[in-house]
Amino acid sequence: MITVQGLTKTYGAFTAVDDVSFVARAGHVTGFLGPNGAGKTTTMRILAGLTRQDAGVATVGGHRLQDIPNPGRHVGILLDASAQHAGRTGREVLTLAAKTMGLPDSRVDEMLELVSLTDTEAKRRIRNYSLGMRQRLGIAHALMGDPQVLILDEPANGLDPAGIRWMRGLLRGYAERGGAVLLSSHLLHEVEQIADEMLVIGRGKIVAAGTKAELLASAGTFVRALDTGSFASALQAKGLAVTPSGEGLVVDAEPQAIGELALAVQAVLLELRAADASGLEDLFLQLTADTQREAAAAFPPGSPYHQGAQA
Amino acid sequence: MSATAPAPHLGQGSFDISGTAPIPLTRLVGVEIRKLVDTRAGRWLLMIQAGLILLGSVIFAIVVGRNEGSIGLFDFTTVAGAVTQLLLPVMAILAVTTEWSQRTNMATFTLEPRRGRVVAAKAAAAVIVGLAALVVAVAIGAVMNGLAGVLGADIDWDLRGEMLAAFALLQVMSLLIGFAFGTLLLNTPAAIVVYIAFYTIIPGILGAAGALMSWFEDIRPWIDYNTAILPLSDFGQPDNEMGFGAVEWPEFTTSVALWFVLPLVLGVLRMLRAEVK
Repeated sequence: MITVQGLTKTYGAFTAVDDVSFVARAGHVTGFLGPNGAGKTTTMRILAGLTRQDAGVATVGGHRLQDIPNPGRHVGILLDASAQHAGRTGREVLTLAAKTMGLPDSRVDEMLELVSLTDTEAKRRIRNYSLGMRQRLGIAHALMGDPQVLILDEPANGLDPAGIRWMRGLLRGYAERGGAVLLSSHLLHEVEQIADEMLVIGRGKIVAAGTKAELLASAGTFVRALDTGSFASALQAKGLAVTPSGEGLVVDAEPQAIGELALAVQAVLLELRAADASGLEDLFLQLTADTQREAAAAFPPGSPYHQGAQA
Repeated sequence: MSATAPAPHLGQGSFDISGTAPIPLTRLVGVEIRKLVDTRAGRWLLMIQAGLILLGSVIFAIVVGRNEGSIGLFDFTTVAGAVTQLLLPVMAILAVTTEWSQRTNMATFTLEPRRGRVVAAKAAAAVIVGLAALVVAVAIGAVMNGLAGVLGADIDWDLRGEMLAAFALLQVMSLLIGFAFGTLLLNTPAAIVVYIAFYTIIPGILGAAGALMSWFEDIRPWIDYNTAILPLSDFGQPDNEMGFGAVEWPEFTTSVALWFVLPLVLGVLRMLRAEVK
């Protein structure tokens, strides 16, 4: 439903989006994951027709947004929940959208109910809204026109855990009914909870794409042995890449290959499984490592804020 | 949470847009009019405008009435014009620049990506609200003219069609010049300052430059908007010297092109290209 091909956008010497291609399919929630400044927002702004690309194509439902008549009826967009007039009430913001799209005022009440904004809250001015309330309002705004595609930039930002769970249910249900969702986040656990397909972007380039399982398969296998040290040597002797992870190792191999090796060298294994959530976290940091702003050890060893200190 | 998310129409790689009607311009104009009055800032601007006109007219009516002078409805529209010529352009500027300062243009331009239509709707909305404000201004003038009569003034109700048309034209022109500055600068304080400079300082500078440099005095009529519109702004003179008949249309056209068309064209080009963040 969303097709991006060879998309490039430069600002002077800085390349914000560098030859990005991906597809977000109908019936799926596609998570767009990357650190701040990786190019997620620029890509979404190009899709929304707010920024012009230097090269490449970005279409929604096979059309450029500019070519869709009354685009709010086809594509729901939330790029920045705070980009609303502080002096308007939440209800007024939705009313303006409904009137622009030619929808009845009753649609405003439906949307307010959908995102659980009460009547009293809807009558308050947006300057008095929390970020979470603004996100709910933004989602109501995006869903107003009953679109086939949703483009949401950092929608979970500012939502509490219950809010994130609510949004997961909302977007999953939307995708199950055939909608396509592209949502971005710089937080892995948000995307992991909501999305079933993931795009990882770093420094303007897509560095990984696939389902969570596919990404994890490439993340390797976690193994913990009775004598992890000597087992690590055995693995390395076989030419396998080994990375220490907590009390065990992450090995770049299938669990079966590792189990067979353990049998051969008579090592006692305590754990053997696909590298999981923490593995995905490691993968994310590793995929975007050279694109991160801060080095991992921003605080010197010995400092109470050093990463190792908490363990 | 009892409601469910709307069910999107099933589709594969693309969706059909042939059945979707474009947004009619009239609907966009309606939305833009609503935006002008749905914030406190917008409402206050109109209320302050009416309040200032009322205040000025009351003082005017009392002073003339007490002194048993003579006064006409047109004199009251002149009082109102002094206020609206400053504040209607501010309203038109805000119609454009608020979208950029509050970043509501993200929503506006994603719901209608053909930005030229949004600009046209904004201009139309500002003119419509401006004309409504002028109707109120003339109504206030009529009431105050009556008050002056009650207080003892010799009053005249003769507000000829030509006077009214010239008054409306001047006010709408001012509003549109403000609008053009707004599109060009996309920044509220800058556009207001430039408009006020245009309204108050520029005529003096042009006049002084003309007095100092004789060659400039020759081109000044072609670029001096305030001189070009002068015949429309004062009907207190004998008819043959004032009104539409006294306007030098070639000079009027060039000065309007310079102060309205040029900034508007540059401003619209800028708005069409600008990256919305």
